[in-house]
Amino acid sequence: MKVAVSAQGPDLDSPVDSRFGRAPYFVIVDLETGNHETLANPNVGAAQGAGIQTARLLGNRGVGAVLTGNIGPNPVSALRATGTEIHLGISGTVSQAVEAFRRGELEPCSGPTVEAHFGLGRGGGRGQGPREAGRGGRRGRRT
Amino acid sequence: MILSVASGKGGTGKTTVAVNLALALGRSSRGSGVPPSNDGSSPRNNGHPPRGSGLPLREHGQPPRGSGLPPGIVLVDADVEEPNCHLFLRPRWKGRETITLPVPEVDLERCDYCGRCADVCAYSAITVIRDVVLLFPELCHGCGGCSLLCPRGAVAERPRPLGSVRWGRAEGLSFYHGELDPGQALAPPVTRALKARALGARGADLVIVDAPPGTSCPAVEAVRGSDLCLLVTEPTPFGLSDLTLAVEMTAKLDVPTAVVINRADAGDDRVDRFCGERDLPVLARLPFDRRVAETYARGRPAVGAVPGWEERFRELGERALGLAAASRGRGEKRCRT
Ligand code: SF4
Ligand code: SF4
Repeated sequence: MKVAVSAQGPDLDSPVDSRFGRAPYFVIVDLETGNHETLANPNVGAAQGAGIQTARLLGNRGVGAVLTGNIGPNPVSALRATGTEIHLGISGTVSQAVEAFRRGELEPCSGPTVEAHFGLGRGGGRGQGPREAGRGGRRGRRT
Repeated sequence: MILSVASGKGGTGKTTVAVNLALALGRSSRGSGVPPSNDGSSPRNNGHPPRGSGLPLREHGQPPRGSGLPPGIVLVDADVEEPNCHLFLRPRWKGRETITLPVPEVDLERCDYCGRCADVCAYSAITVIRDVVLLFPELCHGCGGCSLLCPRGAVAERPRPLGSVRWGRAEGLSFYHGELDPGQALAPPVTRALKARALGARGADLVIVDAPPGTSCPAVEAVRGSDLCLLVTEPTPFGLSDLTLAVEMTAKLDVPTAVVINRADAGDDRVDRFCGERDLPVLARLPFDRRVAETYARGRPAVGAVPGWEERFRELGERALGLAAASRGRGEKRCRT
């Protein structure tokens, strides 16, 4: 599995950045091979939708888990829709975070405020239209 | 002719000015037969039903057919997030229209997850991650880019309701306001639709727009395209700092601007000095009047209730119309869209 950590710098020793969409770097560690690569986040200065764009970027790299500090509801929806694990409130260095993850010490984030709407399901079939769920409906989507 | 009334923040008396201005001008045009401005370019017509429409259609709206509203002065409450003019005017409502925005809907039978739609969307309202297409309708601005550029024709559009526009009559005025549906964040499309409907009203020759407070998108949308914007402020340091922001906004929009100082007797002269430095005409200095505050608290406008205020607002209106008429030639060129 590939794990992406939001980071203030490009290396394994860099501190974890508490922001998701506007973290300057993501260090992506492949747990099987032990290799890592660094992505400079192009969405740092995005006017809006930085979180969603970042989720897309990581998702398309095959990332299976995200370790970060805070994350907005829209990127949570995007990551959830692709089955990506989310771990919040992470601090320390990138390698410490990855180690903790490897040892199974991190609880996946369970109750995010899913405010966005899942538009369409995974592959095949005709997706439903996006839902104008009221607050109750949204809350019903919490897991 | 479009007069907008705005302020850098709430609570300056902007709604009071807009409502009373409309009432005072309405009364003078009906009552005395004296037009609010006797300038030759004035659209008024001695209180008779106006000829045609003296009003250019700035926006792409059509006159609401059969709206049931006689022409004349139109008051528009453009604070679609918190409309409140109707509380003072208590209009008889004549109609309502739902305002929608076209948002995409993806046919997954056709979609091949190429991601083009996600690339073109400036608002990240549609995204494609591997084999998942995700929509965030509340981020969508309805630009149509995704459906236009999808190579497989997989994106259809469906109308998403954002809010509504209502219209009615009150005290001889036509009245329009917009309401954003609860939970919706996208005010500008509703404001645009509202203005288009009001400007398109048959024979609307003076449209007074009560803009939302502040200088963000909804206020910009409300003020855009006016012949004159009246900025209502107070002679306090806070008033001055908000006025400064509001003046920047009208300058960017290239809308001629004048100032109304409310509660003019309580404060300092910094606002006056600022207006002097910037060549901003101060069209009225409204004193604090406890009777006005009391009628306001009872949900009644000052015009018609407190002696002296009809004249005050009529005078303000006449000055504003004169100034607006003078800068109108420039205004024609500002026409957007
Ligand atoms: S552009 Fe069309 S085909 Fe491509 S991912 Fe978007 S909806 Fe699917
Ligand atoms: S209509 Fe425009 S804003 Fe809405 S999803 Fe498509 S590209 Fe984005």
